[in-house]
Amino acid sequence: MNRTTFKLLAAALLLAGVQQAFAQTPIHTEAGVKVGNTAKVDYKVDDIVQTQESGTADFVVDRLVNLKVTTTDTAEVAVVPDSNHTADTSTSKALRFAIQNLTNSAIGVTLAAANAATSTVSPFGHGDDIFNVGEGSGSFRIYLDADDDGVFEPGAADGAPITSIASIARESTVHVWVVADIPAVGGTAPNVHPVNDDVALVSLQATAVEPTTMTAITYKESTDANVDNAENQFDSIKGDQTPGVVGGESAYDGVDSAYSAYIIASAHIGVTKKSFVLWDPVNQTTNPKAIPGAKVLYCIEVSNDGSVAAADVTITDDIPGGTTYIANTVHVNEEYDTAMTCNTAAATAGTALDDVNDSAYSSGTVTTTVTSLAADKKTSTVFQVTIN
Amino acid sequence: MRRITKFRGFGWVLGAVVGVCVAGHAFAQAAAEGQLKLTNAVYQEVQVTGADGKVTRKLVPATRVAPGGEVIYEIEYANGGKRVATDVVISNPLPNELLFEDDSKTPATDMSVDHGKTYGKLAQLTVTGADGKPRPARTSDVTDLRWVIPSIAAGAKGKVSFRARVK
Repeated sequence: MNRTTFKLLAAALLLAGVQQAFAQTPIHTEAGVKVGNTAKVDYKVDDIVQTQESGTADFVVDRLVNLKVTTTDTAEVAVVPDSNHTADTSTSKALRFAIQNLTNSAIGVTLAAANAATSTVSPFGHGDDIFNVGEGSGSFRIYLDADDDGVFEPGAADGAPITSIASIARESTVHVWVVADIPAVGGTAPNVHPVNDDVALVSLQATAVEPTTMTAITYKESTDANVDNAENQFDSIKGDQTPGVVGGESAYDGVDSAYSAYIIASAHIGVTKKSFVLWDPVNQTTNPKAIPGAKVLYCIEVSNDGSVAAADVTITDDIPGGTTYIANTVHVNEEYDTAMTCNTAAATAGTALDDVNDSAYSSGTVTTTVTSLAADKKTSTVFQVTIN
Repeated sequence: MRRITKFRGFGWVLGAVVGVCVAGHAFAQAAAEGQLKLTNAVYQEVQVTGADGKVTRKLVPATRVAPGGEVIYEIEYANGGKRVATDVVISNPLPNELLFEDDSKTPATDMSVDHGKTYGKLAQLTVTGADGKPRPARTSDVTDLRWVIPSIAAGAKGKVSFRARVK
């Protein structure tokens, strides 16, 4: 490539509105630079200084193609099942990658995002890949963080989904977002995913191509032992010394990739247990005391502080020693917002359960189940006993 | 003895005319007298595996070299004149794009790390480090190489060479 071509590329970059500044002084000599070395000789004849002579040798700096893909995420990106990335475009739910062009000239890249194979080890150490995202109609989408502000702005500053970047300047870095639809909880074992804490690894792969034309690069040498003597031809040497993560990649292949990951946000369950004396033989319902013969209400409340529904929440409680269960007093209040008060009204709130038909009580244990407890909701089970 | 200074274009021609008019002085433009010629060529070293499996190295002319690649410069000098050339000094300022690596084949008489202002043995040279303090110069600090050859007989030739790496 000659210098004129570089100037045209620079103009094209400005037109595209993509700003790529050097992060630091370039490490490598720019491709296409002519390196001229001139040796000079001074000498005398008969003690008279002679005219200096010189000799020059030139070569042109070749293109060393190298790019590096990494994720800028420092932990899995927390999402909920059955979520559509086009409806939720928050930065906190998008995966982010850096594509570093280490080449000594501008290159283009073609991009591909994909699921990792099940059991692929997660870079974040919280469990390995277990489910796939972005399948079916909600396929992967890659966006360029065009204004490089770290804020996911699809349809606005970050534009429309892309499959390539026309040009990344020499020794510069760009950032891209990857989003995908998260599937719903579903299926029977083994296909029950995703559930809480499940991880889905996503790879972003970048392949170096000729800038702007996006045609494949014709490489001359595959290792750093670069020698090529083709005149008037822009050669390329592959400089990537380590393979990326996607299967089939190798060192010196002009391709690099990295993983990031989604994690299904966990439901966070908290349990509180309270009791309330409803009645005693002496005071009846006026300030009843916990004396033998008194009726006591036990209230067990479960809350989900997480961001995803908890499935099959089962409350199990043994009848306390020194008391006798009062038959068919189990009530379940399935799902509500505000923490309950364990009082007389709570004794009959919600749904009454039958000991036998609903399996609510058996052999000294109260058991109730709600099939789903949504995020930020509570559920409670109450039952009554008599103090022996 | 007046040393001819090269002027560009018209000025140079004027100087030569003046030189010829003053008789008795031998000027370098008189081609027959002890004239040295320099030729400079740049190579890369490749490993060649022979049919017998033996690996040898050979030099090929370098036309395109990627960053990190090593080049070898060979500077040949020849005395095509009839008189011995003396006080010969071959100097080579290194291009900015190169890092000096090695001169062990034909060691330079001395080197400079300050673009030719001063010369010395590399082991004795110092540069200012990143912390502002002086530190011993390394091969990567070298800016100029210099070979001093006391005399080159008429008809004789020779070669100096060095290795450098592309930044």
